[in-house]
Amino acid sequence: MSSQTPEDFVPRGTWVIVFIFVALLILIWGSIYWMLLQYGPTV
Amino acid sequence: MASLHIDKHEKRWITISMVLLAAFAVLIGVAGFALGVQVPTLDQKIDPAKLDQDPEWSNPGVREIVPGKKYEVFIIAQTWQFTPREIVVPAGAKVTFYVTSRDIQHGFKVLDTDLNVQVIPGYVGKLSYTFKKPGEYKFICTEYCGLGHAAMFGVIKVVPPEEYGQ
Amino acid sequence: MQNEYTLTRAEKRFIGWHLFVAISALAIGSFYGPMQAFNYAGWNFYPLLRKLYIARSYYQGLTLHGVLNAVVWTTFFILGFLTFNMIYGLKRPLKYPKLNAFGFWMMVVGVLLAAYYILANKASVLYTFYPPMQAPWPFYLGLVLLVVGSWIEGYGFYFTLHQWKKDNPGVRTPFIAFASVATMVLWQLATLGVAIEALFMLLPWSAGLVKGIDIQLARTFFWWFGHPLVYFWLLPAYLSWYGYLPRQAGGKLFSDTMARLAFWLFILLSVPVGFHHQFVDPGVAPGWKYIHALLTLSVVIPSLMTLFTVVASLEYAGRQRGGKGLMGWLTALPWDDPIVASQLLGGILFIFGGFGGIVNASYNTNLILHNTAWVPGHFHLTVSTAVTLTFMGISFWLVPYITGRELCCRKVALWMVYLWFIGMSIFSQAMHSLGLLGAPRRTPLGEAPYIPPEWSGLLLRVGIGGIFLLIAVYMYIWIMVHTAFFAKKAEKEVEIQVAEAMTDVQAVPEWLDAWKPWLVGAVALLIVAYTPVLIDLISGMVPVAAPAMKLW
Repeated sequence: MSSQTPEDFVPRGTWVIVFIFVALLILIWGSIYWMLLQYGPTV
Repeated sequence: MASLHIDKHEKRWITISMVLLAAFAVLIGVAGFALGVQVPTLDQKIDPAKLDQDPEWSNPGVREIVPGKKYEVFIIAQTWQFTPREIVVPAGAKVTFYVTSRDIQHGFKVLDTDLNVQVIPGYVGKLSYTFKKPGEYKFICTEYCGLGHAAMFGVIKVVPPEEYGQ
Repeated sequence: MQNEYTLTRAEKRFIGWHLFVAISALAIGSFYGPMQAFNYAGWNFYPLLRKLYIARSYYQGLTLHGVLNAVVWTTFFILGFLTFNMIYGLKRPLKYPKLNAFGFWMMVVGVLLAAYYILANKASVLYTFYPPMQAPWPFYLGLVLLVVGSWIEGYGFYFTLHQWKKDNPGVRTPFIAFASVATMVLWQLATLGVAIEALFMLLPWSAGLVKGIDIQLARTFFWWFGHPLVYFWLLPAYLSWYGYLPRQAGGKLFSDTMARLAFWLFILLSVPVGFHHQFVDPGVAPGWKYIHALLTLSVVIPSLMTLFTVVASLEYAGRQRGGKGLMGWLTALPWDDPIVASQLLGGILFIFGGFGGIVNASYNTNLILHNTAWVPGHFHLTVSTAVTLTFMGISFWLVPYITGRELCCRKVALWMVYLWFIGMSIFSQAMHSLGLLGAPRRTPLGEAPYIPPEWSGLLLRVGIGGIFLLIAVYMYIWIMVHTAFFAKKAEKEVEIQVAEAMTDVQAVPEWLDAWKPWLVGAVALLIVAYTPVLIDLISGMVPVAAPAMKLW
């Protein structure tokens, strides 16, 4: 059983999740943005 | 007065988030306002009940402005068809679409392009595109408009420039 | 463990009525969803449904699906859940229970009125009811009653909090009550838009008092409402993720301050963003659309804050449960507890909903995605999973609490939650891909003549997702009916697991605990974000009459 008290607690695994989130976001957003640029101008 | 105490991890994460979102904001701003990948604009307002009395809208279809280079297409959406349903333009030319509705809201989206307009009666939407590749590009209604909605579509035939007009 | 407060039988029954209406709506509305998914896959049941008078058309079914699931299931569940949080959080009854009851019954009358016209196939206008499509005027009146009734329940909350603050000067409002009132305040600001559309445009027009209305203006009022609507749905789920889940998972809330700040930011930023639903509307200038895009990206921030705070709380809980190393806490969480699993799985799919949402907010990316199947792909991750699975998880303790019966079938509940997750994943991924290829939304693709053969694999997967969801939703209904009416009586009261914050609540600046600055800010932003365009539209209105043709 973990004996971490609230004051000791430092998020670590949270950063892994958040890092994966950022990576996926950039990938997904980037690929849609790229698609958009490939289609080209509309003015 | 007490100051806001934010955990240093949360602070770091909020900073990263803001930088990321700001980057997105800049990229879309550049694409839209500098590179011309822009959203539709308003050409004019028009009474949908009087389209047949308008010099342009009484005769929808393709207009050649500069041969091989600039074309205009006037499209009327109504339940449940587009007029015209078939459009022919040459590849490599800039085609400006003017779209309005005779009755209710419709959508106008050309597959395999970034042409997409909400078609609103009373309002003429304007958007351009240059078809680089010849082929057949379907355009479809994307807004529910009643029982015939799923069958409401047309096609843009993009021909090689040398074949246009034959 | 003893609960800190006990609700009276009348209070439990009042909350129960809300849940009854909500779950009944879900039971009916969720039938039509899979029927649509099956249509995509080429298994078209509509001719049969027409013969059985279950659905006159795909679109009547879609209207029922949207209204019953996205409006009735959500609104009634939210009000029931928030009523619980007000009473339990403040440890006192509502100040004017009869006022809240009046509001509730007004909502019920409104729903029945609108439902009658939808069921009679006179109002197959979808849940957005875009003019110039026109329903009979009592339909719009029904919607007005639903909205005004919900305001009244909100007013009951404000009076209750006000009295509590007078009786407890200088004490911070307990989080679950604060979040409840914040949600209703947001709702009040949001619904002003659709109330204006309904009262000043749709009602006089459908009643024949006015020949035509400006369609771009009506759309603008609707989407003033339509975006913050999703935060009305989301905030009660966040309330559970901040206010209960950390303890249900075995831990504490990482930061009470961040939780409150997120809610304040939602009040400030949820409304002045509606143009991101109108990016390809002709009648709104690009500059204004871009400003709303920036504001929309800003409202992503409180959700990103929520991601960190909730995941950190879960990491703490997992470590308390013995999880070791960097990621051991994740598997150590109680994935076999349906109350926790529903929220965790809802959160996982919400992450993907968030990706899609940020893409949707991004101005010109909408050129590719507006009105395509991507959009329902997106919102089935958010409202239909993050919010709905969380609400289901809440009902797994709230329904036993108010009925005094045990949750009937924990294993079935667990299976149901995972089936829902799998079904929504399959459905939503296929819909996103179809949208990128250009498939439209709100269309029976099984019958559209322009479908290229390349889409058939994806269309099939939509149908397969529908199979999982059809089974899962009726498993849920079965669990609820059984638990509410037939399960065995519980020996002791359900433990209400309100989460404790990790650190002592510290001194915070006044502006973080005061309503006025945030409300003033929200109204100011709304005025700035909307007035110029509204003035422009109102000064140049093009009146459009209802179509002569019968559309459905």
